[in-house]
Amino acid sequence: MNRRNFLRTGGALSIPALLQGGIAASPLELFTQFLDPNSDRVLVLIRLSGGNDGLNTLIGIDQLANLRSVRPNVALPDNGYINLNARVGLHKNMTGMRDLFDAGKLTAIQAVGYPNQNRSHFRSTDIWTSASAADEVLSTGWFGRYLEQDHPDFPIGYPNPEFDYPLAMTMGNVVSETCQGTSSNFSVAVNNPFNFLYIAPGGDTALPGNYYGDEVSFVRNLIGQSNQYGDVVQGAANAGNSLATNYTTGTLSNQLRNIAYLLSGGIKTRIFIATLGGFDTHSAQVIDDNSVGTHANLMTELSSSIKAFMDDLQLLGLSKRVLGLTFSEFGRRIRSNQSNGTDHGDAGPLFLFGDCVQGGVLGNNPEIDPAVEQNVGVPYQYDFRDVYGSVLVDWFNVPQPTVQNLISGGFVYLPLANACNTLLDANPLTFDLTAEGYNDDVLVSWADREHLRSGGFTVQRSEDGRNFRDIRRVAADNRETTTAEYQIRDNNVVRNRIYYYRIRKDGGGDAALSPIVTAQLRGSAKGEWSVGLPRPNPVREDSYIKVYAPVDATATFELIDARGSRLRTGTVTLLGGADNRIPLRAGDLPAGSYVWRLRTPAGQEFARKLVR
Amino acid sequence: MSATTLFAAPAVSTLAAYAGPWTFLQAAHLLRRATFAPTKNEIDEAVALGLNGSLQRLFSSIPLPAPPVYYDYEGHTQAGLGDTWIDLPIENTDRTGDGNARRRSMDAWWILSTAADGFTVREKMLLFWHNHFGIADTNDMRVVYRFMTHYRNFATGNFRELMKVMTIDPAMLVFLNGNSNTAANPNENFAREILELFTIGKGPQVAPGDYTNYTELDVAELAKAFTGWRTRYFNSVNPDQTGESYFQANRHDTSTKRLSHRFGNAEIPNNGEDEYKDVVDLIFQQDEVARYLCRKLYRHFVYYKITPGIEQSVIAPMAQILLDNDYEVGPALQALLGSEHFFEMSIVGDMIKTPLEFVHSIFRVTNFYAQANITDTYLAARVAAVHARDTGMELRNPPSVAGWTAYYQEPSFYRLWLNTTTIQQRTTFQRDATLRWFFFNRQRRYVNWLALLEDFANPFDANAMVAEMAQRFFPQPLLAEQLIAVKELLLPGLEDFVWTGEYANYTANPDDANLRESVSKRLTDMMFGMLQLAEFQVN
Repeated sequence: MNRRNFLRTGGALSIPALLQGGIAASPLELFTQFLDPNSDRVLVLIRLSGGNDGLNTLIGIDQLANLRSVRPNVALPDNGYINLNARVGLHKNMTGMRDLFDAGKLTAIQAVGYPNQNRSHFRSTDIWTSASAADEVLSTGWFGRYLEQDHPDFPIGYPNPEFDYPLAMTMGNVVSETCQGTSSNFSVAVNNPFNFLYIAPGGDTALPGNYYGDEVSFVRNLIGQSNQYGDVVQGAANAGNSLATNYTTGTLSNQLRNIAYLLSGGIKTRIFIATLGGFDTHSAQVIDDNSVGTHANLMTELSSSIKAFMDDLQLLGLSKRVLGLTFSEFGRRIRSNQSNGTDHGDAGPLFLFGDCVQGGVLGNNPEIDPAVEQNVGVPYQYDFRDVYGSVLVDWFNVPQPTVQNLISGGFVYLPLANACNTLLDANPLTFDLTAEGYNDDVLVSWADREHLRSGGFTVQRSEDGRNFRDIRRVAADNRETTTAEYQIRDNNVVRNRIYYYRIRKDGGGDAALSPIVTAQLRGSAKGEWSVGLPRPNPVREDSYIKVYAPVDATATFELIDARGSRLRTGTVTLLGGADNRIPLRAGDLPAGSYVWRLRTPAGQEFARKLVR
Repeated sequence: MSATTLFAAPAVSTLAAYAGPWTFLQAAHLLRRATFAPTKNEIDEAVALGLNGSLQRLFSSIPLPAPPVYYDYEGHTQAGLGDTWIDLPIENTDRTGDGNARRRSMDAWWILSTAADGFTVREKMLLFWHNHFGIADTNDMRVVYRFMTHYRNFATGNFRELMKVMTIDPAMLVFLNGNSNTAANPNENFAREILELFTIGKGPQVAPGDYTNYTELDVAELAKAFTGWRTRYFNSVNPDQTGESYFQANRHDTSTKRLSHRFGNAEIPNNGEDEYKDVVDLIFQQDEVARYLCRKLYRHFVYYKITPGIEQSVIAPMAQILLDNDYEVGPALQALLGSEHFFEMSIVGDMIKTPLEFVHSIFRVTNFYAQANITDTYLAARVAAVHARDTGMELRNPPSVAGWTAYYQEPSFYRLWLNTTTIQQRTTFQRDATLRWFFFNRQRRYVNWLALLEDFANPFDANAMVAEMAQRFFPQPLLAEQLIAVKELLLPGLEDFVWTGEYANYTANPDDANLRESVSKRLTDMMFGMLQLAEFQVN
């Protein structure tokens, strides 16, 4: 065991760790380390390849009328969704995930994305897998960087007696860029763990019985023998088990069942990546009454597979070890197109599942403007890097300062996967908590469906998602017989800060905590300024640059030619928290190269090179 | 050395001229065997030329490749970077440094010169003769350059005359102790190998000291005939001296040499410094020499198993052509490469790539050797040379006088190039060529796969692009399910049109580095998986 690794695992129990953490500073973090000194926790990423249409996945019920007016040929009918709570629903085919939500084992996060959304499949996938900013290229994956801390020499000296298993595994033929390290990819692509001795794609096809077939067959056998992880993977798959009978016959179910086999067979791999493709639904996304068709089938496969996988893990006694996370390179546009489909958009919802997720819905329903333009996507509410960082904190006990170094641009902690670390059970159904920022205050609302025997509620607030203070007490309303609804306004808040709220139900002998939700005042800066590249470049009359402004702002720009002469200057008014398209009107520029420079009100400058 | 079998050989195709279809597959097969890693343009050209036109082109005479140069050494008073050293004495003020610089240069040049002229059989024949004579451990690179030039000049020329040239080549005289073979102290080393390995071959031992084709007596007598030759001026610093052989009459055995009944009890009278020519002429009177060479050519160009059927219907008529042409190699080899046997589908792709073919099959087709300057070009070639060396083919130094074992060792032959270690080294090389990079001269050097798409018929269509890529990189067509699996690497979970859109987006925005990176990453992911197919290891 190398020294770094010793510090990471064994060191959690050592005295310096206690002193370093400090009980007052982060009690939960410390507690977590005691709970899980030899973590065997597993992360399963499910990539929804092609760009999932989040608006037809996680349904904003209060927005549905407007949505139907802008995407009449795609939006779901009233019987096309099922309720998670009064405001939020799921596509009607997602009953499995609804059941998980009801059991507190599914968290939905609204509108996850990043500033200056790139709508290229390839580029945006790179951004999501590397956890880079939109205008930054990172050659390593976010989980690769995490693994690299413990395994800086990989792949030299691997596998070895201590790490005789793949450190990361992609179910399929392609290794995931998520696990790309500086020098090599940490993941091994496993298409069929039961026949893992030959790894190349299409490698076990029939061969002719002649000289050519003899030689290719010889090479295949040799590649199998040299596959260092072959025995471990195949051994685990054969030793493992799968007990659930409700898997589908689809590709995601197959991948997740293989993971169940491998985990129950004792493989120690910490991260698995599964892929469900087909989400690039430019046409015929839906048919008939919009609730069936391609996208509906994908929802079935996603939901039923995750449900079966969770059932399987439960039956195998592994469910506390696994956290699942879905992601997709982008959401789709709010307006539909003429082909009963949707085009590449911006942010989209993301799901976490597992025994230890906090449950509930994080974020608000995306507001649908009935006059929205054709090319507008859903603006992001949560940066995907906040999700990654929080998973590393909650699930893998990575100290926050370390996470800041792993995630480009840092992250804001979101309480996502810490339910197994807290003392009290959080039941999302009991509370149905939301917090919404307004111009001057935050409206915190909740309901109580089991209000009998309640001694009242305490609203708690935090500024780091970990340390909560009581801010308000609310007496129980004992007049209602079924559901009591409550709300308070918190005006002791400032702009540009994220607040975390939760509710404690007091008295009656069974105190309970709600899941945590977050809110920000309207006009709060979200993220950093971000300026895209000119497109297309070499520039044409219709070329543009996308600028993301964190708050409403007026910025100045100038265009400078190769000799340094300023050809144009001007100002642009930018909408805060959104991507703005700045037309370059470059049609009349003579051939040559130019610099376009943007200056923010705070004096920050961005320069982009144009070629004409 | 012919393989024998207890079973009746199946009916085999013959040396008769091939008259079947002439498509990309057959043209590529011909060039993959006759040359190193043909490019798309070369294969297209072969398709257009037809079989006969292609053979003519392969066997026509072309100028020698540019000579090796200094690429990283500036210590020579008469030459700088980019200048050749083949006519220069070793630098007197820095003998070790100059000698090492030339060795580095030669290793890289082995790679570059064999990749330079695509449409010729000469470079494969250079390797053939180098393997045939097996000269290793020559430390004077001017002497190495000279015997390599002999191999090129005689590539498909007269085998008997080449044998004469090589008999008194200074490197050969040192290598097999001909330079210490004297009348007083005969050294049989060269005499034994010229019979056993270079010309007639060792047949079954039928009596003590009798190997069917020659006897121990013949070895001893021939050794006497070769006496008197010496070498001098290796690694000389004197501009008037270069490594050479010379004849010293008083060391020559002037007796009459009397051979065994295997050579019809022939006698070789003293003929001084021309006597070695008489010996070679005498050996070449045995028709077994032609069969021996043709078997060896067969194993270099077709397959290693020589069944009695092949012996009869391919080797025998080929040897007859060699004899009919007085040991001119060209016509016999041309007949083999144009035969119906050569184009059987069983033969297409039945050779495991040599390390040299392996590196060329990535670097040559992606134009990786064409770096910005001579230094980087040589350094790129050194990457290839080092990999070939590490996987069993140190080009300057064959492992023994018999050449590389993969060409002769029963029963595994070509399979000896691969084992669990070398297959991993090849995989690592493939990874560096796709997902990673090669590092030299303080920079990361990427293989440019995107550029490869530029001459594709339809790079925008994912299926067409994958199919064309497969056609270029594999000798036989992949199965539909393999093509689908490869495409899945390019577009995991995505529809085909995504590639069309993304590639079009990239070609419309060629200066968008992020976009280029993203498209390139998809393509290199695909190439890494594609090159991992076992089918990539065969030629």
